[in-house]
Amino acid sequence: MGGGDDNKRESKLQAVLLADSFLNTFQPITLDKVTPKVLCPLNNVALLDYGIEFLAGAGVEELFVFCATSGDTVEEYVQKSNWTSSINVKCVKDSSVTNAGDALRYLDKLNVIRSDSQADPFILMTGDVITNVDIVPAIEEHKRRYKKDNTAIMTVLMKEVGGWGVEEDQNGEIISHSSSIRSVSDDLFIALNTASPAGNRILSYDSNPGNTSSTKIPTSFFAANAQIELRNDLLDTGIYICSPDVLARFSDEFDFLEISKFISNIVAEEEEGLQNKIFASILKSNEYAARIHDLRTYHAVSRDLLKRWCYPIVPDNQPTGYDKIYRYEMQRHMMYVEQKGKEKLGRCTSLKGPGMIGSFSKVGNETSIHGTVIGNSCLIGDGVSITDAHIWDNVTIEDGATICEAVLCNDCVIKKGAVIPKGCVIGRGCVIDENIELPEFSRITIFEDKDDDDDFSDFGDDSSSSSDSSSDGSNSESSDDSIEENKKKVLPVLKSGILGVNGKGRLWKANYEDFEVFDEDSDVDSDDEEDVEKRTKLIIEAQSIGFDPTSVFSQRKQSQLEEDGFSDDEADDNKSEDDSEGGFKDDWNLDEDGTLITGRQEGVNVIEDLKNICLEHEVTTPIENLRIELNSYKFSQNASFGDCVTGAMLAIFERLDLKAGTGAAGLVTSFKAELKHWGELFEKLCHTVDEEKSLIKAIETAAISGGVVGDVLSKEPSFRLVLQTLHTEDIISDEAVLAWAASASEADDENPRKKLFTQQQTQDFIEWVEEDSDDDSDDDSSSSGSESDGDSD
Amino acid sequence: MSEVEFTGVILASTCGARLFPITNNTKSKATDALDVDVETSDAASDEFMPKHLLPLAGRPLIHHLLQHCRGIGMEKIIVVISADDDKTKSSLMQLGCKISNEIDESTFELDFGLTRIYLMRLPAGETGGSAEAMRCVIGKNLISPKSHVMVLPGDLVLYGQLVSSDNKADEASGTSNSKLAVDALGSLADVHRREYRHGLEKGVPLAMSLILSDVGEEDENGVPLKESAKAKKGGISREEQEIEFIGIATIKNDHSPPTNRIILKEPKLNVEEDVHNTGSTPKLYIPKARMHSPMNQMLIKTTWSDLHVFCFSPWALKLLLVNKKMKDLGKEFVPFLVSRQFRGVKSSFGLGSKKGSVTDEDTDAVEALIETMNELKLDEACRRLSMTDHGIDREFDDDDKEDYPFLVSAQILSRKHSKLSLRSSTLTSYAYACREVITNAIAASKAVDESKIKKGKRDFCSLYLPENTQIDAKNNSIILPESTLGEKVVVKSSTIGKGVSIGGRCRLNNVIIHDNVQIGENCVLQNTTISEGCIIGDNCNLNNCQLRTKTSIPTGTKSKGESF
Repeated sequence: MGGGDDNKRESKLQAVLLADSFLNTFQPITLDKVTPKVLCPLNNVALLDYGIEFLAGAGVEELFVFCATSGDTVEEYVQKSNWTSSINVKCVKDSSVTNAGDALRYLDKLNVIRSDSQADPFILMTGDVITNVDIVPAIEEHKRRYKKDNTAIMTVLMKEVGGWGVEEDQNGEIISHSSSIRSVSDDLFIALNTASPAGNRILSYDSNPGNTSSTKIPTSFFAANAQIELRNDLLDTGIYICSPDVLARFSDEFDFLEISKFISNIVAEEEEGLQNKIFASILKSNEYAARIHDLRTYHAVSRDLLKRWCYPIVPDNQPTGYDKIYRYEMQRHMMYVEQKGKEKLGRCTSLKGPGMIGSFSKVGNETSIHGTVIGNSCLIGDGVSITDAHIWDNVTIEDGATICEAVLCNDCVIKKGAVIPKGCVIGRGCVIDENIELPEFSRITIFEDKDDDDDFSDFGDDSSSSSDSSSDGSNSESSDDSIEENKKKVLPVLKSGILGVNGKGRLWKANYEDFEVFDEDSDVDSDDEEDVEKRTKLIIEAQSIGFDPTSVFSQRKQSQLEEDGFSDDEADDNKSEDDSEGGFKDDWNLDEDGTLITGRQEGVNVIEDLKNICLEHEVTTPIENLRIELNSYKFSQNASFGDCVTGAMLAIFERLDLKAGTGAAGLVTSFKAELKHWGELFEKLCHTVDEEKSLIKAIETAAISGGVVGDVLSKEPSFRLVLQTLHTEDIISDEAVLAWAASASEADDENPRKKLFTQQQTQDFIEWVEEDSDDDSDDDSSSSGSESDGDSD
Repeated sequence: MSEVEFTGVILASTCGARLFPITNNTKSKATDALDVDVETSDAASDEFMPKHLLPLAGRPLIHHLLQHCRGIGMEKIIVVISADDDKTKSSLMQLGCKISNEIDESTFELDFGLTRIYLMRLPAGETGGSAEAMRCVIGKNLISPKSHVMVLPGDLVLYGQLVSSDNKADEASGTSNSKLAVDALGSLADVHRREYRHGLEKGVPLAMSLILSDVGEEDENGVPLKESAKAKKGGISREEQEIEFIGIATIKNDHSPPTNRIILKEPKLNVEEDVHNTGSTPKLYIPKARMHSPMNQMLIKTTWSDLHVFCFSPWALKLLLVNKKMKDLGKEFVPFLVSRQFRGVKSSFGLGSKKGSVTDEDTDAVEALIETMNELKLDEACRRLSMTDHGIDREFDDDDKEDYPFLVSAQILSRKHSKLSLRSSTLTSYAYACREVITNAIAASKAVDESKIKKGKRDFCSLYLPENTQIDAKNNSIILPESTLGEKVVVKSSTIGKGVSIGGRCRLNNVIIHDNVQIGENCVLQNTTISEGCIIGDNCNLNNCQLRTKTSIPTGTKSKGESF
């Protein structure tokens, strides 16, 4: 490695491989317990083997493979494998982990990454990376940097792949271009300081796809960095060189779920003294690295390997362990053919690459196979046409079938004349009956959706239906379930639906809760189930082979352009902009008098938020908890106690669960019941008359804002009774009632406030309060009472 | 009117409020805002001294600028002056211009060698900004419809490549070579011409190009220096309001130099303004829509300085005419172009998203757009538009959503060439320009001495120094002819104008003295600018002072940081 310097102190290079991508993109293939994503074959080699081979080549001596799901399967696989001799591979299993952040925190707890010599970094890598990068120089640079500045804790390896764009070609057709190894949802913006001698420091890492139209850089960064380069042509390869501090940083902050979030948060720190620095190391143009994010990138990477872009990782140079069993040879048209168990080819069969054929596979007569990877021991009949597909082991394809841009997993059977169009995935052991034509982008499986819930059986009876079960879909399957048990869960699904009479399997439907919707209008309430389903379907399609991303890109570009317009509308006053949205609420930081409130987050509706906090409160817990919560929110947004009581009062009315027919008596009864619990809160929050006034104002707002609550409240004598209740409970004072009366009497006659005020019952109550307070204070305020009486008409 | 490719427009209608008091002798302080491009109409006193007439090494700024324009072969230059400016004309006559034609009472045609200069007085009461001035110029029909327009501020100092690094290489071929390579203006014209042609080919038309100078400096760790630190080191320092965030995407071209496309231009003050009073730290928001292929990389800097030298394509001027509300080129129109380039031509004319019938006020816009489309050869769209263009209450039938993005390109001066490319719009920048000219003159004269060509004269031409100027390399000063210095006078880093007399035992450091100034004996002057015709008594001590024209300073005055 680095020449003669300090060789003695140099300890073993360690690495962490995350054997889980914590994504659902490979479902339903990964639904069975035996093929987690890392064990899926890519060009007839398991993904895990590529990763371990790379790390062994990089000089890693101790490797921790972290498994969340299917830990046992992976461990078993690792133990059986041969490279265990050259590199010490240990499996770390924790099935409760659902994200990369937790995995790293778990590793930190185990204390296996030695922290005695902080200067020695370790490699962190996700299990789905295929690369031939020479990582040694990057490690050396990281060490050098760390020695000078121990806040430089991480180096991210990035590959320049070009951004995406949408254009119109000469014929007026809209075409998009984007690297095939970039997943459709990826829209990563990175700001780098390219002028610094220390290296390309990352100053902003914005991986938020689609739904925000601009990326931001704190202006203070410009004072410390002479030039900042913003790029969106880079791909995060999923290979990170980390100092041991990184694990500690993860443990510090439980919000770091994904590594990308960690990076974006760390680099966004503006306070110079608290900054940790993350650098980017950009791959040389002859180096290859790509993440297999979904099946679309799976196909692209497979292609790249076959075309030898990632030399020496090519099919005719099998990784350790495979090299003894298989020997591939490249033939015409970049077709790699296994030589030890050589395939039997029928007559008049055309093979065109790039593609490969595994050992002991048979191909019948007059069959055409283009750009397809075929696994071991496959049987392919006569007159079959296969294009751009991935066929794993033991697959049987009968005569006359047509397959295009699909993935056929182990042991599945395609019967005579069936058509598998683009984007399809046929899961393990599925059978597609004769002459069946599947719709595009259908994914077939025989396995149940994962479910951690014990009440799984509720859905079990209903297993033949393809309804999405209530699974939470997370990959946190308890590893105690042995494979045997899982097989029991596999119910023989016979459905004469789309798979035909003798078909086996069911159409897998994505559970849309698992998929963050990257669509532009995700802020629209996703209650519309049909809409959500459609969007989920689009996401799944975008992750499939053969998807044309043009529409997604042009839509995203359009939405970004539209948003762009708002940012510079000051310059846009040339044309009729007067009819711009008048209803837009921009008074979030003004109080009632229109005074500016400082220190409030943009666009926050304080009352609404406070109300929601109160609504979430559970009556079984002490009200003191709620008070503390309200109080802290009040501080964070510079709100007032008045805002708090307003929110609480509105929440109470909402909680009463009023119905249209509820009368005044019913209202007051339930209101009183609620007050038993809430009274204490109001007592504590109402420090002065101002809060009491806000309280009455809140009732008034509820009464005039319509809806069921408004209807019930505005009906005589509800309003009066509510006021009276509060008054008797000593929550509101005479003074507050009279102040409200005075302000309400000044309103226009048409104002709904005035109507509330002029209700006979309300008048009576006010009169009574006046007298009451006269008695109390025993002074000459009677004149004011008569005034308000006189004014009211 | 004969066709010219580029028409120069020098906007010299402002007097320079930030150069107060040396540009103004009225006692009432100039009322104009800090905006340098806004006119002051109350500066009508007889001692009005517009900033483009401030002397730089003995000659008014505008003379230097006109020489430049002539140097790059510009045939037609329009000089725009304010209604009450009566000095510029005589100043141009001094330069050697001859009036050949009086077009109307406010416009004169002058001959300056082969270059025609149109001196145009803005109508009285015209108080708008540079965009309005431009609209006046266009309204006068002085610019032929197919000519590109290069807009220059009157206070521009542009000696970009004067002392080129290849001085030694020049020795063999004489100095003419460096003169060819001189001009930032010339290179801007080249870039503009090239990008305009490319734009037509690719269907992404060029709206304008502009010059950026690089005024950044870093310490040894690559950390940029603050403006104040730069000022201390004697560099150009800018005021906060001049600093902008500028983002450039460099797009590689197959057979020609890369295109520098400006895709972000936001004044620092705007970005950092906390509009909503949230108290959060300011952030620069970059619309993602601007970063799509092929612009995947954008370099953002705050150290590029916009010299306000704009080169507009003909169609962009039509756009300027349509956008009547815009007052200022640099603050409104250019940012508008930068932000709208992704939306496209149609939407910039305000028609992109319009549906249905077109109102009367849109008629102009539609016509301008059609002309634009013709010019840009966006044929198909043009046909579609003109077909719908019959009758007054026509339907603006815009079913084809596609718009035509355009581009704004930049010519970036290297850091070395940026040294003497600036606008002398503030006192500090004016003082800096004077100092830097001295340094350049010394370097030039040395180069000339070494190569033993006839003494200096030729190179002075490129600096446009008056003849017989004394260059004192040791004391880093230049002294113009007809000045008398008393005994034991020490002059350092200073410019001394014509007909100046300085009494004995005076010490001058970093002082700019305009013509016909009299200084008494035993004065100590530092970092001071003294305007024409001032009289300073004996034993004065002035530090950091500015003197308005014809000020008299009594004997024995001691003062620091004051304006007289």
